[in-house]
Amino acid sequence: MKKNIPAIHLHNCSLEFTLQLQFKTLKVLDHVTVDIMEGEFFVFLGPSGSGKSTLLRVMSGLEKGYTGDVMVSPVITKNDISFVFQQFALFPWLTVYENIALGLRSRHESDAMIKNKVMSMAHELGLHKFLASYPRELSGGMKQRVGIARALVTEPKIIFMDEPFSGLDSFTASTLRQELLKIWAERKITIVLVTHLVAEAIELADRIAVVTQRPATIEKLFENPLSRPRQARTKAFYTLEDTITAIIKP
Amino acid sequence: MTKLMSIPYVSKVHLVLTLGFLIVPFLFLLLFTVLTDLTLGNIFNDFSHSIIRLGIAYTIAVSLAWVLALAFSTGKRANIALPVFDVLQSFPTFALVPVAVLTFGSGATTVVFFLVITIIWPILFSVVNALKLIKKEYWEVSEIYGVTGFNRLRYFLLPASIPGVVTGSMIGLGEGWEALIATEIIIQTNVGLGNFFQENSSDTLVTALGIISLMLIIFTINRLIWTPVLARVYHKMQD
Repeated sequence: MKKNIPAIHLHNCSLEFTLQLQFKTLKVLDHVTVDIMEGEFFVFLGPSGSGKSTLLRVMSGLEKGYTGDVMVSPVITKNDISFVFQQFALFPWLTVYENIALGLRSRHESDAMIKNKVMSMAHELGLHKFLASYPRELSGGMKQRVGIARALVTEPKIIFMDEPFSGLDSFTASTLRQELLKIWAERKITIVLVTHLVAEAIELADRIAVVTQRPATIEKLFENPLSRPRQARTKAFYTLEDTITAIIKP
Repeated sequence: MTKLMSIPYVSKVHLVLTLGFLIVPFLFLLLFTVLTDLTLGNIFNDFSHSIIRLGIAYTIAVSLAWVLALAFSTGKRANIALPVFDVLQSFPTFALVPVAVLTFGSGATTVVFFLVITIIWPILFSVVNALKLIKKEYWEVSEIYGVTGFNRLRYFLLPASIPGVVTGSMIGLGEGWEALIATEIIIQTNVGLGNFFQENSSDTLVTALGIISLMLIIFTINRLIWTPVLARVYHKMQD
């Protein structure tokens, strides 16, 4: 599934934030260099506050002011990028239908086409009974399904996911991870996901980049040796989990 | 009726009682005519003229404030525009009375002009505040999914700014009533609340009944419009 063509190339990427009224700067990224391949499921793993979400935002174009290079494959345009947010970021004043359709509105597609795509996506993610609902009427898991549907409906080539399952209960998170893996396998998209959970990284990733505490650098980058589908309660899984945990907490 | 019911009245009985409250100011105006020598037609004439002037001024002010807030609430433009707006809102409005009377005359246009320059600022700053309080993630959603131009207005900025419009309108209209009567008295309009209070300034009973009538009308507008609209808007903004 993974091709050897970089979808995104980061070279010596650094970023500092100026802290307003404190007259000092905070270094968030420190010379990060990494290639993410087309069709790859890539995970940045690190402790909270390490700067991995900022890294994701730099790659997706949401964060400017960095030094170094962020190069996206020429076959990937701005319209080919989607983002799934940790806190869902659904517009509360729009229904589920309108939230999912949001990305399609800017592409001048006909209402019939938009309806067709939204309905199809809603069926795929089990949202078809909730299209007229508002986000406040949904559980956390359903909200994140809407967030994923909104990201997928535009048929992106890359999806950035910022701790998409961290606000959910473990059962819902596990179910959504399995559904995400199915979607990824079917659609052959590149997924770049950020998490602080070692087991989640092992379950999902082709490759894992362990990120240091802020400023973020890549401590270790390695291929996931476990074959798919992955069973969480196996000796190989636990061994890998222990190895990675030891890297994060030396 | 369906639209009214979509505003969060607690029940149909609540809605009926609230609508029923419309009758209270009219009953009070009837009582007014019994207690004084004034006719219902006279009172209604003065009240309705002023309310129409306020309504026109509010419509102009809310439209202008909304457009200005959307255009100048963020980015480099805000750094320049917001201090200018702050200076303008602090401008002593009534210093313009002679110029306004010379330009528009002593009629409704001058009253509406003063009302607009009074009402516009609370609405503008409330909308600016609402836009500045939009979660960073919502801007990012808009950026990532290419929600630009008319779609950005329709699906993002207009709905996100509505809480500011509502709270700004409540404050603006509160100031508007005061400016309305003051302007009408200063420029000496032939009809309106200012005219009513000035003509009856020597009659304490009429003045007191006039003030109570005005307060009942304001209370009715609050119960019928602002309270349910505010509740609905904040309910809609919950994520």
